[in-house]
Amino acid sequence: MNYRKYILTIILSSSIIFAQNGGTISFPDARTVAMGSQTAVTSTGVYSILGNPANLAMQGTTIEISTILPLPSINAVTGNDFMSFNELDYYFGGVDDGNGNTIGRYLNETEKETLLSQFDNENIIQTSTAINLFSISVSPGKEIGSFGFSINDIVGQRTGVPKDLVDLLLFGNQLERTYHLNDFVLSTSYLREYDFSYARDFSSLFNGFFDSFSAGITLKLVHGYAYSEIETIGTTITTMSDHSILIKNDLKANLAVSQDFGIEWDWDSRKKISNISPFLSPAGTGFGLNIGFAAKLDSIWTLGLSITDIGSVNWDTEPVSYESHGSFLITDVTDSTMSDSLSAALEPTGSYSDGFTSSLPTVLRLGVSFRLDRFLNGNFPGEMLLALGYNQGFNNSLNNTTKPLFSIGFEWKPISQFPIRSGFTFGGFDGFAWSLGIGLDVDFLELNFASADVISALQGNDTRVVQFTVGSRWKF
Amino acid sequence: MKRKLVPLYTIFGLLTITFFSCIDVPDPSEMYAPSWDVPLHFPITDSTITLSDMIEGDTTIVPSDDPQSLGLLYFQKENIIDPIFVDTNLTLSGFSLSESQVIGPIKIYDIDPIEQNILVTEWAPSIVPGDSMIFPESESDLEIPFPKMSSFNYAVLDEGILKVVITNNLPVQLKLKTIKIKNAVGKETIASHTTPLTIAAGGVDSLSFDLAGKTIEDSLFYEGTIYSKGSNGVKIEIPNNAGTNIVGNFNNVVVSEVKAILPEQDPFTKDDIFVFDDSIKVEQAIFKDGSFSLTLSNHLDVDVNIEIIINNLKKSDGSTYTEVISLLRNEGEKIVSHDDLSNWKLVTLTPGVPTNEISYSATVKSIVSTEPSTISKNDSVSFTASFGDVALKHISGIITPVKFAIPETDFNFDMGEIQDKLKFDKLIWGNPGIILTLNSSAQMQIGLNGLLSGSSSSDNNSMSFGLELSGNGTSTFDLRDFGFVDFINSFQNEIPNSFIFSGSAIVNPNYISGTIEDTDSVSGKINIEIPLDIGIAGGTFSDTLKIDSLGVADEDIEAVNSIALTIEFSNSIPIGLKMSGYVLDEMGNKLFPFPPSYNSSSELVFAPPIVDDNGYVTEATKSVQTIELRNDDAKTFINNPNLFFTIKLDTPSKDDIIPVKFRNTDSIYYKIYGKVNYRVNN
Repeated sequence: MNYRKYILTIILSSSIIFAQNGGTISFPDARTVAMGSQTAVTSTGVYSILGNPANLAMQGTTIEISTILPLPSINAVTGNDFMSFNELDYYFGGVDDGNGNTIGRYLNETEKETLLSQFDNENIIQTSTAINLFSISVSPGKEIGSFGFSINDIVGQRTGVPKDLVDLLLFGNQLERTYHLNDFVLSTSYLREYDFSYARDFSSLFNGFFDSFSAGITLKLVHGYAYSEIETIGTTITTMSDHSILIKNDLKANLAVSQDFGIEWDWDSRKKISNISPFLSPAGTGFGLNIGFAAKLDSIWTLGLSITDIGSVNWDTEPVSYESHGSFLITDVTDSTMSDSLSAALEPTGSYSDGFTSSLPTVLRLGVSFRLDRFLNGNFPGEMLLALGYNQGFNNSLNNTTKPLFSIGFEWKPISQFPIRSGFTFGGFDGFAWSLGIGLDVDFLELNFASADVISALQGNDTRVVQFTVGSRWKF
Repeated sequence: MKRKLVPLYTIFGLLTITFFSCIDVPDPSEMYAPSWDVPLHFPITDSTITLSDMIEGDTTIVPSDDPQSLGLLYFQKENIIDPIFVDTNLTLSGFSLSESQVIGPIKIYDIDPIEQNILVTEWAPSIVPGDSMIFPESESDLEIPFPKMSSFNYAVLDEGILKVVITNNLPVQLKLKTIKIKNAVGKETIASHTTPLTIAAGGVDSLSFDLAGKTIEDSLFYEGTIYSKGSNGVKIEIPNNAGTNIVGNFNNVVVSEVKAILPEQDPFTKDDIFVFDDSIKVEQAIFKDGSFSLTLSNHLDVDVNIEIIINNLKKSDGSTYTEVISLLRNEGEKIVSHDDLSNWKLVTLTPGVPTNEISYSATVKSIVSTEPSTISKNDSVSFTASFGDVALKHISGIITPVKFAIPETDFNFDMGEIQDKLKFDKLIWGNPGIILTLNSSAQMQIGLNGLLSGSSSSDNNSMSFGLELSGNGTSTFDLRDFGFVDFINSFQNEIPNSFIFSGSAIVNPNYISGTIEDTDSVSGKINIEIPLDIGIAGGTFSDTLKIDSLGVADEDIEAVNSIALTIEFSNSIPIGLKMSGYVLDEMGNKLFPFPPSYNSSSELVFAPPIVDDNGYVTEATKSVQTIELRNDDAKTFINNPNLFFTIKLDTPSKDDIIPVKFRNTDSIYYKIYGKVNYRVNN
């Protein structure tokens, strides 16, 4: 039986939503992504800083540096969970008007119905990008331990479009119907983290139990440059049978922006000066912690456990809160006082707040890796590393989910310089994904390419997500 | 190994290329938003508007606070009547009085007696006074002059007695056979006795002669015959003063004419009255201006002082008019003028009894002169007092009714554009009124003959009325009592829009006593009080409603496919409405009917409410109507929200045209909502 075809069929017929790495503001390296994000065991060397700091102690090189050359380490994803690119192109790609001009497509009632059916309860549009600006790990020796430092920028946004809103836009306000907008999500984040890691071998403590055992810790200093979230939204719009329109508004949004963006708020008469530079003044500061443990049972089995991004960011530099509460019944659009009252009731009122805290996307990561080639005593072409992983997010902050992520993957090096990596993930942000990646690993330089969801790539424009991870590191 | 690896790497290489090139991420700059049609329901307005709201700010329409008609709306407008001042209408016509007074009997100095001693030797020359001798019979005609009299040159007497006393100083009897006293110059005999008068020796006898009508010169003589039979041969002592003494005394002389140096004559006074006007009787009249003059003439040959007193003419200082004028003998036409009679008064001398008489006295006093005057008792002094027309400041009494015209006061009944644009087959006013409030400051009745003229563009009518103001104070007249309701309702097809109030006023029409000042006036106001208590049949009101813009962007207008407006209407205003019209372009050209022809009805109908017998609304009438505008009509309407509309108006009980009453609480509830089919991203 051609199980590969069977499996491939299942994979291709699946609706892939998001193929994430199990959630973290930190980003996994391309190698880990390609294998399915078993970060606890697959992050090595300089990449351990973020994934499992304990793995620093197992770094095989003395110094590793990851920077923008030759290839910047970037993890980027964009997409949505309700409409493929082909569908986007259909609705937003325009049509020829017969005179050679491209105009917007006119949607008839059937097409409107079809468009509405694309939406369900969540309807998320999400984009995130993580860039490693600089990383270095130094492993001078077991007696000293291993050190790591990393600077990473992570930008993300997440927008949730309530289905009722789409219904309202397409089909208007039907009488005696309430449109709920409480599924509206709008989150953005721009963070920079400065990570300081230390790992040490503690094999002697587990002598006879593990071949090696290490523990590591990463201390994070997180600077937040921008943040927004809708804390609460409970807005409804109801058109009554007498055609009056009842709007119940319950909205609170939090924002924090670096002063260097020069954003002026309407209640603050102070002039702000824009001073955008690579080093912005933070709007919030936080601290985080990664704790990790790694153990080699033997040359074949490796275990890993890490808890990453324990901490939060305190947005306390002129944080802003926008609130709007109340209900308003529109009965008379000719009444100028009504429009004024409507604006007063619905328009959010902004003010400086006392600050708020956003949690880092804390995740528990467990992983097991297995060297198949060693298990088979070399009777395997090249090196084959199998890995299993379990990621459990502890909150639903941006780039995180509490849905557990299970993964299985491999790295096969038929030739040691050209690793081939792949994996399957189950759960997480949504569903199933097939990750794939390749690399180029020469002694002093390693290049890696990966996609967390190759099926999306194979689907072409029928996919809803585009994701890629690339990276490089120098090894000395 | 290598052969297996090549296809494997080929596959992965292709996958890699596929991975990077098979997804064509849409370029946001090349995205074209789709368009679609969406129906939107929206409320437009939900309001109740009362008549009070409609007229808010219009001070000419006010609600009644009379409990009997609480809330009934009135068109109220006040127009001021320009004050009508008595002013120059209060005058006293000029008049003059003339008076002449003769001097009467003339006073002369006392006339000394005339005396003459006729010596005996003048008629019996042989007689030697002092001797003793025989007095022979003697007779002789004598002319013996008397000494000249000093009292006059001559005098003509109306009365007088000349008593002649003859004393015979002879020792013989005398016989005066004739006795005549004659003027020396004119030789007129002033006294004559023709029968002999015998006087015994040493005796006295007298004769009285009536001098009435006689002219006596200052020189007289005796003419007569003296006879004496003598002493009959007896020697008698002839006294030394032998003779005949004649003394003449003038007694009870009344001179009618004389030439003499006259003593002061007795003043002669004329007290009289003069009626200056037949119809005015004055208690007090204060002059505002005016003049009068005295013209005096002295026809006496003697200087005189004339004192003129006009007893009931008071000067400005309150003193009685008294004028003393000196006139020389025979001086004529002496004029004394008073050109400013302001604050002079003419008063009655009997308080409480008005008078139309000037009471005056003229006293003439002669002035003693050293020159002789020739004067007759009929010589006179005359004067004429002439008053020009006198404007009066004040008059109390009984004055002649004074009529003066009332300047026209025009006012309008301006209901604004409604008046121009509202047409009707018939309009009935329930109880329109004009309240005339007149204030008179005069303490006198004033009668008003008023004329109220009204006009519309096609009709003119008028009504007259008479009013009486009883005196000082305010009088109010409701012209409804004079037929105003019928007057207004006589305008059949159009509401009159302008009125003129005019006429005349008569001060003291009933000729009774009163007081009036020149500053008195009649002023007042005309209050139009027209309740909105009307019945309209076949009324139409047409107008053009122009709205610059609904403020809708052009692209939004193009995106409108159709509009449906639903109007829920509850009518508590006592009138039924039917509305139709046309949508206009900016030049005013008709574009299409409104409501458009594809609507179920060509007009919007708002039925009148139920009213009671008094015309008050008791129950509202409800209706729901929808207007649909499709496609280009919808776009055109939003682009050109200009409407020419015609509203047909009929009050309830259309056939009977009974007036209904509009109250400030009458209202219209209207709710309008719409549904627009709109093309998003058109």
